[in-house]
Amino acid sequence: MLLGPEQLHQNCDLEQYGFETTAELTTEQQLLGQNRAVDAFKYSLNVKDGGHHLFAMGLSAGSRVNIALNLVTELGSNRPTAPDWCYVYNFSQPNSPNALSLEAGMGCLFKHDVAQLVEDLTTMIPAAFESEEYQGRRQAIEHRLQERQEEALNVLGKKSRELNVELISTPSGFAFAPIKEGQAILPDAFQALPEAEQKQIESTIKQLQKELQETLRQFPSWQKETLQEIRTLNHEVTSSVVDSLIGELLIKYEDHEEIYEYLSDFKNDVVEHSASFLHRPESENPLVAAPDFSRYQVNVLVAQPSDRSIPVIYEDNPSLPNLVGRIEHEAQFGTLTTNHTLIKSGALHRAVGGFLILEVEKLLTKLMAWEGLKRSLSSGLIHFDSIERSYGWATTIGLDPEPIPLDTKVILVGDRRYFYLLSEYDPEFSSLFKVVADFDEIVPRSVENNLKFPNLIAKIVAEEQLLPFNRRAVARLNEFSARMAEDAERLSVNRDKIRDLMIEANYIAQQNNQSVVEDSNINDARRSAMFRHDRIRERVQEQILRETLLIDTSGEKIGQINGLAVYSLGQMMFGKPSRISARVRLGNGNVLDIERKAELGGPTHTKGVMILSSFLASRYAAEAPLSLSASLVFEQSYGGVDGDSASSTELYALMSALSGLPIRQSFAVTGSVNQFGDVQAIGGVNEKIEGFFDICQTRGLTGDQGVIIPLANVKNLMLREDLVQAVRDEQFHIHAVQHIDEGIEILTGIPAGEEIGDNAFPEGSVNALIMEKLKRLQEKKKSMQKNGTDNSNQESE
Amino acid sequence: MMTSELSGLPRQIALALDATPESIRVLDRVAEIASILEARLDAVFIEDEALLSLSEYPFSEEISLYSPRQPLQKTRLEQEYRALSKQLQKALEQSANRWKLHWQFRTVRANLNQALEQISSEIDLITLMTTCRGLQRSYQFEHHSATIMSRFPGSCIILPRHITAGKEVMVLIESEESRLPLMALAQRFASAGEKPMVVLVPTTEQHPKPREELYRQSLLGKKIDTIQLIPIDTTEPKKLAKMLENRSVHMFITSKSDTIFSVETKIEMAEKFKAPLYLLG
Repeated sequence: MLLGPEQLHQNCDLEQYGFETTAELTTEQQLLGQNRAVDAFKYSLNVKDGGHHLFAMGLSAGSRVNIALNLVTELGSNRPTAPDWCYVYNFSQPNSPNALSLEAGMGCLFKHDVAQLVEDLTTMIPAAFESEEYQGRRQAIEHRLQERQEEALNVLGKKSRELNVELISTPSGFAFAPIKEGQAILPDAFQALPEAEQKQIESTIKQLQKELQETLRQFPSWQKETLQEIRTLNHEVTSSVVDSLIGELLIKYEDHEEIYEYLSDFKNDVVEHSASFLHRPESENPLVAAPDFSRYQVNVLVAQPSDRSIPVIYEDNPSLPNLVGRIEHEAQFGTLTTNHTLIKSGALHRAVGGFLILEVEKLLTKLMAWEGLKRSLSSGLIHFDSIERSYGWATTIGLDPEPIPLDTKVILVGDRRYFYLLSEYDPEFSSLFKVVADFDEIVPRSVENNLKFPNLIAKIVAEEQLLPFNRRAVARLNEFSARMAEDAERLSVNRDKIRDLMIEANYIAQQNNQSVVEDSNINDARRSAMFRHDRIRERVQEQILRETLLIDTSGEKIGQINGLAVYSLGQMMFGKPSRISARVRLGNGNVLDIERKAELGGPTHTKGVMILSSFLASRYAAEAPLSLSASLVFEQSYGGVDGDSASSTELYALMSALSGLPIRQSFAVTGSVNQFGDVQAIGGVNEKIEGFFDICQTRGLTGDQGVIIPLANVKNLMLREDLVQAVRDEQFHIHAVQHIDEGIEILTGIPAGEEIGDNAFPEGSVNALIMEKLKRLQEKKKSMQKNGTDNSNQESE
Repeated sequence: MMTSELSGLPRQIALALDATPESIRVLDRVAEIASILEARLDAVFIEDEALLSLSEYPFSEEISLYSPRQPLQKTRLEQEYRALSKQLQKALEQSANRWKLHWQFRTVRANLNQALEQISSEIDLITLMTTCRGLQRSYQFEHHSATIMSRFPGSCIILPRHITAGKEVMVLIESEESRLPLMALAQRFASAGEKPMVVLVPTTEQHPKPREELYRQSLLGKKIDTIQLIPIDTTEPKKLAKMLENRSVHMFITSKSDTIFSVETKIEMAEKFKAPLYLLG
């Protein structure tokens, strides 16, 4: 069937758009044909179950996150407001800070209250300790000790004096010295005393020394008693101050049991450590640290937004610490220290009560991140896992904070392959991510979707702050989207590519000082983008035009045909004609796929060759052996061939070789074939047609040139305007065929010939000529077998 | 060398230091006094020869709170003296810097009496720590503060063993003759420390009422808002103590020669107040 120009490109109907530019359109989220995925979002976001986290797959990498963010914000707003979370010092287990939950918005208030309390304590406690009342009571206690000690020493001193011995003070202690009538007996005088008197004095002093020692032994216990009295006094004074200051807070937070308990522990701790609140002289010694009240600080880890909106968090770098939080350290004189104020939140904390969106590819490439996420989701608690602790690299004493309950719905976005891989290899995955939102990249080009399409464009315009796009430009983008979908009846919703094209068109429009982006800007942008990526295609085309790569676009050849291949290089896809040739000779029915023999052919290509072999055998040698050997080759192909889209082409070449009928080289062919000779759809039809057209156009269109494609591919045609125009001008032709016989007729100009019984075909037809050739080969083979000269088996090897 | 407050302030103050913990405690307070008087502070650390000679007894042992009993050795005593001396000198240097004083520190080894007599012959005002109560603080037991003070003709500052920072400057005026110099001295301490002045005026039979009124009149002519006049109608130490028990005294000033109250009573009062006693000679 020869296709008319209207079948080659399905224009977007401008009449369906009642706007002039996208500035008139709303920019609300417009998802084209994604009901399945949206339903999945609705279900996952609102179902109350721990394992119903969501995996959103499909769509382009750049748009997944935005779409997920928009959907979550729109569909997940009916969750209850989550609480604030704070970490506070654990007075009974300092290495395990306590997590406190407060109503949303109360976290910062509580922090402020406690900070104010500490500030007041730092003023009031020293004031209380400096007060006359305290000083008086303390001095009385200390004085009692002094008096007690002095009294004990005085008693001993008095006794010793009565014995003519004086108790005297030395720099480090006490000693006894003899006296007589109140005057010291100096050593010289002592030596002069009678020996008996000396011994008497010495004996007395030895006895007094023992008594002194006994007396002094009591001093430490008296000091201990005094210290205990002072400690009790300090407790009383501090308690009094703390009670007066903390009372208001206890009333304020009396409904919060955990906070009430914390404040009670706080009070006891302050009383216990009242000395740290007292003023100390500033020291120049850096090792003498200033008073540290960090133990009394409140670390607000999760503070819900002031507008009470549900948190929707996207973590761009989902490393383990960024997910589950981390405990930072401070260096102090070469030692790393930490405390509860250095606990930093992770994305899971920030998303408590809301939603967390993560890109699965990034998540899986971060060390331990996936494990950490699963552990949190499974346990329902956010543990402060760290890589170094997990691997035992860190052996220092660290914090083990009380984990915060995880009340977060996690949305993973990514490629389908990750979903299937995780489903296959990670048993926990399916139990945690029970809901899948499968976004379709291709949607029907229906009236409904065509009408939604301009809103998608308007949204991108708003997001990227582009100039408004006029109606024609939107229509052109619609056609571009259909071309991306490789289907005139479908639209691609690859926002990345649409956005890229729009940005480039906008750039061109701005360069031209336009206020609106027009359809010509879209065309120019496509050309520019293509030009930038076109080097390889140009080189290939250049080699064809310079006849380095041999492609005929005119004349006729037996056993030679132009096939069409598609190359995909990065962002560029282009079609390239390839010469395929076939040769036949006497043999035993084998069709030799030279590509496969040379290990350049892929399995699908091999399958295609086998199918066409089957077709040949069943059509022309149903009742007798096929006495030929044929060989097929992609000429000048050095990089490998795969796919079955050339199987019909190869069959045409074989039929030409068998029939001896030449094939018109002004045609190129694509399409796969089945065992019945039906021509089947292939991919990349637009690029293939345009690839051959470009060669013909450069060499000069003759009016005889064209392409044969499967009829099933007509709906995929979204061809370039210049090609459509050439068809319109009858300078280029596109034939769509259903069966191999239709194609061979076009290529040879000879009727294929329908079977008229017993493997007989009308005389002069292509099939009849093939049958004749095969019969000749068969007879020759029989004759050679009789003469014993048949070596076709060897040749076929 | 008698110094009159009318004729001038002391230019040089001696501070006798010994090997007791009180020595280091009083340093800063004496430095403050010297600074207020704009006098040079001459600190003398006395290594008591008599104490050193204790080691010559065959039975001498030193018994302390935290060390085992051990023979009292002269070399160890000397080492302890040297260490104390360095510690006191450093503490004095810090106090002197704080109060911006001229100062001198020296160590002498001598008999305590002789050393004090030597010092008193060279300076205008001597500062002593009380040893009249509690343990004897030196081997020269008979030389408690009162004794030493009586031998020294000039002004004395007696430092109780416990000193606190009080709020008032208290002056005890026992005679008309000493009123003006004592008031001048008290006024100086009160002004320097921005402290109120409390004047104790005995109203005994020897000092009839008209004199007290006259005295009050002369005071009212000065700074009425910083002066409080307290009549004293007793010389009984216990009654006096009761009357003044809740005062917060920073400096207690009185005459050395007036005798309504004995020197012992005055020292007792200073100990109660936990304030230095300035006995104007």
